[in-house]
Amino acid sequence: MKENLSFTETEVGAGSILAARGRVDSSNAGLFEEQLVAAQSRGPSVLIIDFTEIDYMSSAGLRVLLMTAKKTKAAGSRLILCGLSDHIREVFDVSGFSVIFTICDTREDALSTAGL
Amino acid sequence: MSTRMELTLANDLTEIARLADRVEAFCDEAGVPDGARLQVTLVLDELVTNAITYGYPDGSRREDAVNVILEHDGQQLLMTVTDTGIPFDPLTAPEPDIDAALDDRPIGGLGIHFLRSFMTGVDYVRDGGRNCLRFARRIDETDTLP
Repeated sequence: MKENLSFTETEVGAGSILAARGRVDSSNAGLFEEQLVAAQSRGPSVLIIDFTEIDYMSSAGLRVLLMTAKKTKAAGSRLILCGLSDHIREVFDVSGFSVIFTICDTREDALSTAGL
Repeated sequence: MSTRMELTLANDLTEIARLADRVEAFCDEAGVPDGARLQVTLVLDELVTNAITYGYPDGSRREDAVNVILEHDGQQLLMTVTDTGIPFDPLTAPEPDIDAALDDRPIGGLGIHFLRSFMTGVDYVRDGGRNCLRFARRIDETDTLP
């Protein structure tokens, strides 16, 4: 149960892609936050979070994303999300998050949008 | 055909994974479509997380803090969530401003917003020292079959 959330980070030019795998809920949102803070602290011009392998996320994950978006904006860099499942996309829509995040269908679209 | 599941949880957030596993297994067995299963899992997760996080401000550990009942009667899923925490009626909680700009976006309140958005027939009573919340999720033709 401890390993229900894992990450792979890939540098692409001045940007970075953080691919998450598993599920994000209130029991492991702290780990999600640590990973996003660490990825951001390395100062990428664009941080892409790839959700392709994430099949579930609760508001605990949305809270971390909201904080990350605020920090990214303050740091003058960009945050792009990609690979959201239909269910997570629905949760974003209902939360009003779809309009405050840049969301791309695929990692390729995200890289293209980022100019990487 | 009617099926039923009951689960008792301690006031510890590590219980959320067990809750999700049990809800998924129940829905698979009952043939509940993925969309409905994910919404029910999400709302139960949010409500139980709230009960565990805010219901016991004295920090006491309770092995039987939250009780979740899930029933499927063929047309809908019926959920009953009770907890022994401090009184809290989610129906009186203010709606979060989901149209606020990024910098003004509130951090809390989304779990109850999901309850209101995805579920029907939400009813709350405080009964015998427990918060008792009931709600339903109809399974209809807009849900894709598993």
